[in-house]
Amino acid sequence: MTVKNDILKNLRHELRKGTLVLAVLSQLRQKHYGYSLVETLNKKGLSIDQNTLYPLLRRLDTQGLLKSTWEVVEPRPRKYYQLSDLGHLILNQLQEDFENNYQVLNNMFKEKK
Amino acid sequence: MELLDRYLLQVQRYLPLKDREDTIKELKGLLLEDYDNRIENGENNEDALYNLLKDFGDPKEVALKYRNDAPIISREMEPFLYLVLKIVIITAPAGILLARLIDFASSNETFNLMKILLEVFYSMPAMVEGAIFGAGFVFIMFFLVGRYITPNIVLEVNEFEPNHLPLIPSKVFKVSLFESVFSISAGILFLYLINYQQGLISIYLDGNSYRLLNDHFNDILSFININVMFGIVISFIHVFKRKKTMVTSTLELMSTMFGGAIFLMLATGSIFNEVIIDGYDLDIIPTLFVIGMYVGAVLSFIGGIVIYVKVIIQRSGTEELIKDTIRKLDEL
Repeated sequence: MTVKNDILKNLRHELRKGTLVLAVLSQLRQKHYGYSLVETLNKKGLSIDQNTLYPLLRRLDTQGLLKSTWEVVEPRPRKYYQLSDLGHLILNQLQEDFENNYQVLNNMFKEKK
Repeated sequence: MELLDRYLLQVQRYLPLKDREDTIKELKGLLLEDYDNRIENGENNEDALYNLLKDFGDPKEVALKYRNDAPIISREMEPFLYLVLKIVIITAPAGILLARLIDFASSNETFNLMKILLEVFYSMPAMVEGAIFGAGFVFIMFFLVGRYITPNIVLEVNEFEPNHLPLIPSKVFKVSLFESVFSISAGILFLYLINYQQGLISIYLDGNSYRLLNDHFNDILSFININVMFGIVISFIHVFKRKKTMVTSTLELMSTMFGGAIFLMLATGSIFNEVIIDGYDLDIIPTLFVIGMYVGAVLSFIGGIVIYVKVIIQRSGTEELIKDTIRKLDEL
């Protein structure tokens, strides 16, 4: 049972990892800072650890998919993120790929039935 | 918010240098947002901060998520690497020193404490070389094992406890600019006097001055010069850093140990001009000097170690752990 749970846990983690970037990029069509993005994703049903999201935002920013700006908002400054032009292109492509994969998988599941 | 600052200090340690400031600034803001949210939801200040940090996780794990580079040595093998490195860095130089002392002892030379100490000093470059090559060899072996054998190691990780985070370096570790500049100036003046104005160390009798120190002192002088210059270098580092770090504390320990050994050399070195001492019946001077040097040596060795251990305890946060343990024992 423990072996099965471990395998399931690892595979779920792999499955989720692939979609996390897409989910995050999709929300960054609007400007967000880290904490507001966590709350937005949680409200929409995608629970994510803060210590997973914040490094991810930084990585996407470094890759040029996001543009970031510091804004002084009382009581403390916040770093806001939004999709860059490259980010929009990549998101559109990834979304298309995801929808295609979803369709293919759906057909496979129907075949099994 | 001291606990938050302690947490962020630990995260910062493991972040890449170029991203540190920006990442910590952002992370602090985000954690404070979460903290405010928890307060609004009814948690008290202390619990909100503690739970926030506990949920966020071990600072090293958090920092590693910000790193894009893959570690050279895997995280599972890291504890073993550090353990083996510690063993090698101590045993390699100790082995070299032991070999040289045995070689020295089995030679036909008549020896005294000063010659032994000289032998130890001359062995130091070989000891440092041994430590460096040993450490390098261990690192390469671990890299190759990790790369080509990939052992299956399961690490037992201790649960992260925010209250055991190391303390922020206190005022004890701050070094004022005046203190550093004074140390450098005093060191340079001392070097000038001891090397170029040895005539000042004289006995003035019947209108004449007689040099108190003989040529044996010059054998030890080079070591005194090295130690003083070492101290000047440490003071220069303090000028820029304005605080004591683990590196400078370790260098100070080495300098203090070295100083202790120099005290011993001065005590056993028969450095006084015997013609003057015997001629003017000044035996009290060498006697007092020898006693003073032995006391200096003991104070250097013991004092240096005590100060260094205190620094380690304060820096590692072990102090909090010890206090916590004592508190729990009292409750029992």
